[in-house]
Amino acid sequence: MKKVELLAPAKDIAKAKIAVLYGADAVYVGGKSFSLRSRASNFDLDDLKEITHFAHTHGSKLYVTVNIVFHDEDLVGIKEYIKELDSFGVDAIIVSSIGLVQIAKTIAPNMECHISTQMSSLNSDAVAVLEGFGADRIVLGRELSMEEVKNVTMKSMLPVEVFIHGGMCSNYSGRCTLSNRMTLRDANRGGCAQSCRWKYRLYQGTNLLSSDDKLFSMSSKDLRASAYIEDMIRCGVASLKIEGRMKSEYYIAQVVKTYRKLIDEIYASTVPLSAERLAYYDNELSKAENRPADDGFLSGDCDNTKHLYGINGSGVTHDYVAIVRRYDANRSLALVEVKNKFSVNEELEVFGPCLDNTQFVNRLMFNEEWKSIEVANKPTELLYLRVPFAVNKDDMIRKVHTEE
Amino acid sequence: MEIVACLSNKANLPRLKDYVGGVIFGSLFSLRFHYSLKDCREIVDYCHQNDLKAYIAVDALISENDKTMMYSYFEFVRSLDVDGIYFSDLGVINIARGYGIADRLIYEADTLMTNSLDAAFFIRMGIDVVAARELEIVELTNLLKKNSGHMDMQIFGHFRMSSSKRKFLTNYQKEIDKDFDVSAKDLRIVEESRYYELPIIEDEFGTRIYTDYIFCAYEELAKLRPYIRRGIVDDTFVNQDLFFDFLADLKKLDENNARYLRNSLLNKYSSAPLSEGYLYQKTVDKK
Repeated sequence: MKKVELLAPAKDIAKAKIAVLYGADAVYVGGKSFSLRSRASNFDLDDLKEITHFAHTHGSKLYVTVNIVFHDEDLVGIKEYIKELDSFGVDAIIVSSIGLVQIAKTIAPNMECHISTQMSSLNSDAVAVLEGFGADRIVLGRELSMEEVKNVTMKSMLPVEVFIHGGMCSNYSGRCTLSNRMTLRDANRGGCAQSCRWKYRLYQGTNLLSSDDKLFSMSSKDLRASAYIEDMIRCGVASLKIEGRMKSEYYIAQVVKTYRKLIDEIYASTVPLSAERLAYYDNELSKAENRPADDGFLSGDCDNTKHLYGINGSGVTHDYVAIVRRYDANRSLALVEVKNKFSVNEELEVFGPCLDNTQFVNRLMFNEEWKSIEVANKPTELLYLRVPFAVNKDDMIRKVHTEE
Repeated sequence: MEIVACLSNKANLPRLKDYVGGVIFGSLFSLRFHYSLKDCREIVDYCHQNDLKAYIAVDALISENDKTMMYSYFEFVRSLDVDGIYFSDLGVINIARGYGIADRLIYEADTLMTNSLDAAFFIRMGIDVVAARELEIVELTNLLKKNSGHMDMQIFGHFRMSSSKRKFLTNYQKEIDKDFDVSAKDLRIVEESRYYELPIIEDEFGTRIYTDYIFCAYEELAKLRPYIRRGIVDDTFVNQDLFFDFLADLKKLDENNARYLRNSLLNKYSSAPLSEGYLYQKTVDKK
């Protein structure tokens, strides 16, 4: 049986490399044009060429989102763009336009076309129709239960991709124009203002129904499908997708590594994953989450417990404090780049592509002039830390929270 | 252009027949209507006896577990002998093919029908399409002209802005533990720092939110009507006098009287939130 693909997002080259190094089988990125999450799309053509080569040399695939809902004016240059992507060896484009599938199949027949979740494919008949239209893979809508995911996957000839982690549209993706009306930012052309996460008063006629201390909101908790990975693998889902092209390198590293380990453990084991092991993975995922998470529609309905009231956007975690740039094993010194504030005598934890969570107490810290310092509080500053075990470039360091 | 009215009330049929060429109705798997199967038959019979076209809306997105019921429902749809089927879920194409009625399909993709590539693709398959509502006048004109005679557009009414499987009103009711009718048709939400009153509806398919304004364009419509296959008028949330005045105007609308007719309507219903929608309000990929 072909092993399921772990598919990770990336905002820029550095994060795409982190995703590959931490265990993603494939990475999806957006170009400067033609892609949703326009704020996240920092890849020009040279970047796309470079990251495709990097992914391939590490045994991973590279997908490019070309998934805006095109207006005619947006189509200028699209053929040339697709030809360029094909010439770089990009493995697939992710699209939300059937017309674009036809163009891509004409000019780049070997490059796959994956149908974006923007098209809200929720049943096996839709998958069959899209197969007839030339699609190579379908990203399912996020409104299906696990039973439905299983049924669609087993009935479909095309490979099926399922979101397993990250932010959720509370409305059907691609069919929402709240942002257009509220801000004139086109939600389906990369400008979504996330108006669903705002707070609203609810009226019936002139009668105010909402409570001012807890206003109406459509904001959804994030998705965390760790409990369903085993079922998805067993029913033949082809790709497990992590959302988050706006997310940090720490988020990418932690979430990719955790799902990588979870998937590998499922394949290596002859018995179902235990509740204890699942709890371990959930705890690992929680270290990177900045919004409360749940299993969305996978367990059935999305009731009020799966919504956020009183929280507009995402919080920011400051647990991630540094990334390793170099390690001198002879002197047990790691050169690190500061990301967030930390101090001497704090307990820190390192994790990396080849290193599971390993803790140490930060006893000694120097700046590049070898002056001893007590507090690291300048982001991007390079410091030396005494780390009593071998670490590697791109390993990440975070604070350890001890229960009081 | 054939004027097609969303049939919000079956009792309106005798009055509508003087103004429109067809009506859209629905039962199961419809986001707009919940007529009984018996009502559906009566609507089709009435339409065909009165030289009106009857279009059924099967415009909900269909989850895998609902497919069995959808197949059964299509047995019924086939038996109705409707003139067209508005659909939103691509799976409907497969189902309709199975029942030999794919030639009646009209793709209402909400936001997705924004370019001539996609429109042409479906039209080549023999499927008419409904233009997205978020197009500004130049791109709408070009799109309609390129696909003349095969594109529908909503020419009057509140636009649907979002559709969710989630039951936002029920969930909120539980969250604040307050008793109110989540199925009421006069609920509105207003963002805390804005003034737009957005109609919101919840039913078994989830929740939909509509624009605060009523789309109503006269001069533009007078120019575009030769290229529009069907012009859809929707009276949901709309004062009935206003709705029928607009329909009466449509009968006599041309490029010479368009401005006068519009100003007359605006004067008569000065408090109605009439708007030209996105025709002169380009939404862009602003960051």
